[in-house]
Amino acid sequence: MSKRLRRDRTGSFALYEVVLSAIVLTVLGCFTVRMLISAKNTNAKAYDLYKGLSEAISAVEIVKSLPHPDGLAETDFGPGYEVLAIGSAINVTGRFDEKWNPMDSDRPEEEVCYYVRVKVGPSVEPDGFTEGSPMLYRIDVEVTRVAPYVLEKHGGYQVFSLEATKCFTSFAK
Amino acid sequence: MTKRRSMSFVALMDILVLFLFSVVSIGVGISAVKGFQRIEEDRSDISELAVAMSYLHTRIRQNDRLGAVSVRPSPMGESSALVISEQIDQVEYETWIYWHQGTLLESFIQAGDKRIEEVSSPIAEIDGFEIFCHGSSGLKIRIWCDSHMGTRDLDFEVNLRSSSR
Repeated sequence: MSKRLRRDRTGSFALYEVVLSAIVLTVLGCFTVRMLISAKNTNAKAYDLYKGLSEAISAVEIVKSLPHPDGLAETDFGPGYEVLAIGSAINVTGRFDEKWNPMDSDRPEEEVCYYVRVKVGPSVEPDGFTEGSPMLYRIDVEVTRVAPYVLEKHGGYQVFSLEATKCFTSFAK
Repeated sequence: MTKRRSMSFVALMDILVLFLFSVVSIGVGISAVKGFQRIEEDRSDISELAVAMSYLHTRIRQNDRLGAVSVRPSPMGESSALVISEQIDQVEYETWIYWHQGTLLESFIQAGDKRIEEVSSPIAEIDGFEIFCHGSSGLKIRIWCDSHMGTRDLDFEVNLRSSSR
């Protein structure tokens, strides 16, 4: 029996050896691909963080450079941004695709991958507010990714958020 | 005779299976190494961009004084440079921040001195730097890195409180 086994081993690879090798190789391959995707996602998140940070900084700088937030216009922000006034608050929404290219309003909402939402409003609701009097405004910026990263199930990932304030007066820059 | 031919065929198949297994293993290994190298390069690019953005933003904000920040043609003739002027003991000095051959450089010299390149020190390794004036007091900055994964870029705007450039 022992002799026969030895003779068989010198003959060729058994089927189970080939199958086992293939399985080991497949498992190693899958593991490597998984590691690669995970590393790529980490890089994508890092890049999104800095990209979101740069968009948020620019948005805050734009709002702060104006004499009053009521003067905010889409031309201040560039392509991809929409400005909407709701009561005393002003909402600015920037839409970007997967490669952070600004998206026009005529492109479908499904193609949007990143939202930059800026909310500018008085920190305290105006009570007897008079034109020209100083008023403290809150500037909230939130950058979100709608589409999930590769092999991740859930979207709606918050990339970055920032809160700032500015007192708008006729003499403070 | 038939048995010997069958034996040699089996041996050939064995060699083929071994060869195939080796090729696939080496292929998977090389692909993984290359993939990780590219990812590492991308990570390094993102890190360099973050350093450059943070540095530029801080330098501008630190020197936001009347007439201190200006945009001038780069001393290397490529794009523009950010120039920060300051007075130390009644002597005017300039800090030139510009891009040359894949590096963002900083040079601190006395105003009017032409040896900008000689006294430069590297800040970050990036593939491009653009700066231009926007509106009455805004500076728009774009920095980028090119790699196998595509172009990584950061755009940001800084508005000077002192409205003089």
